[in-house]
Amino acid sequence: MTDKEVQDLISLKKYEQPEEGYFDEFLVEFQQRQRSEILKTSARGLFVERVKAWFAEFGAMRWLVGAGAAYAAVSLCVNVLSEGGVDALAVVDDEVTSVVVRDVPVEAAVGSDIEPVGMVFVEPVDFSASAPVFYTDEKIF
Amino acid sequence: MTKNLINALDLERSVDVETSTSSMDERAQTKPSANVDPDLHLVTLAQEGSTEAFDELVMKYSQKLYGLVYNMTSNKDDTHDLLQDIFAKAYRSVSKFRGNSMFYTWIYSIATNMTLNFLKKRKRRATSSLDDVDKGIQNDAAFVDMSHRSNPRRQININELQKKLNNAMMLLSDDHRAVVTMFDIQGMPHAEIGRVLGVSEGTVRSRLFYAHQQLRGYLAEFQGSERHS
Repeated sequence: MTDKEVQDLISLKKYEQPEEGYFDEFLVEFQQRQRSEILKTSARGLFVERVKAWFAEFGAMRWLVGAGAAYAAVSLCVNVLSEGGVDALAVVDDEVTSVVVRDVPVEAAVGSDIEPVGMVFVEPVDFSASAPVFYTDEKIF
Repeated sequence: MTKNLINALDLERSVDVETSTSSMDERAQTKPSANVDPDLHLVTLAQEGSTEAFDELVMKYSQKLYGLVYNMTSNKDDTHDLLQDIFAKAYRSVSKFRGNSMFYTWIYSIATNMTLNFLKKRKRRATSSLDDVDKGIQNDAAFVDMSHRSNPRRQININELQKKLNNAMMLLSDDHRAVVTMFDIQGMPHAEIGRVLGVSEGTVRSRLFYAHQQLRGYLAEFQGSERHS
């Protein structure tokens, strides 16, 4: 059996094709799948995809841009954290929502005008209550 | 059925392109050939977000890729699912296509890689059943005519021949089957196959040689049994 005969026999397989109309239905199924995939993609996924696409456009400069963005993000975090302490008490509608306590030695606070943070919101505790006390979200301090 | 015959691939297209690279989908990214990619316009539109343009590409290549995947898997359901996955992946990655190769080479690379990966997984599962024969083909005048010309001594049982061809193909390793599918069944030139698979033209020729040797042994035995029956 020659090489040509082998090729002729194997080439018969090109006639194995799906039934008429298969490729039209295939396209319809593909379109439906595409749409459902888009719907399934979360907002976060889309955001990540867009950032990636945007990032990819920079080409060789992307590492520089990435480093800059990372530096900016770190700087922002450091700035926010360094503004901690009593000054950084976040007050919304007269309620304290977060407290960042600066690490200050006790000796340093003696004689200063700043009242220790722990004492600002001190309330006397009533041990006489017989019924259990239920705390609500309204007032923690 | 005859309307569905695979169109012969354009052999003159993009032959003089250098072989390249490494990564899976970008292995087809070669230096631009002298010919202009006929799909460039549709690809550009698809990259700009036109789903209609991509649909046209799907329609254009689904038949060719069906032939590739079907002849490598020998299973219609697997072929259908894989083909959906291939186009879905191509759609997601089309923005990364830089036009360094023909779109045709690029999507063939995706299809071949995904099919080879699928075959590896299927071997591990080892539970899939292959299609026996494509029933419709037995009424295909072109197939009947060709099969008679291939065996002029006597009219052979088409069903048996088809089964035998499928079995012969499945005897080959996945890599060899890919090369035989692209060269013998789809009529692609060696250089193009090399670009799709990310191997040299010499490797393609070598794989073809060993594949033909194996097939010759298997199909010669079949011819012998035909003579005896």
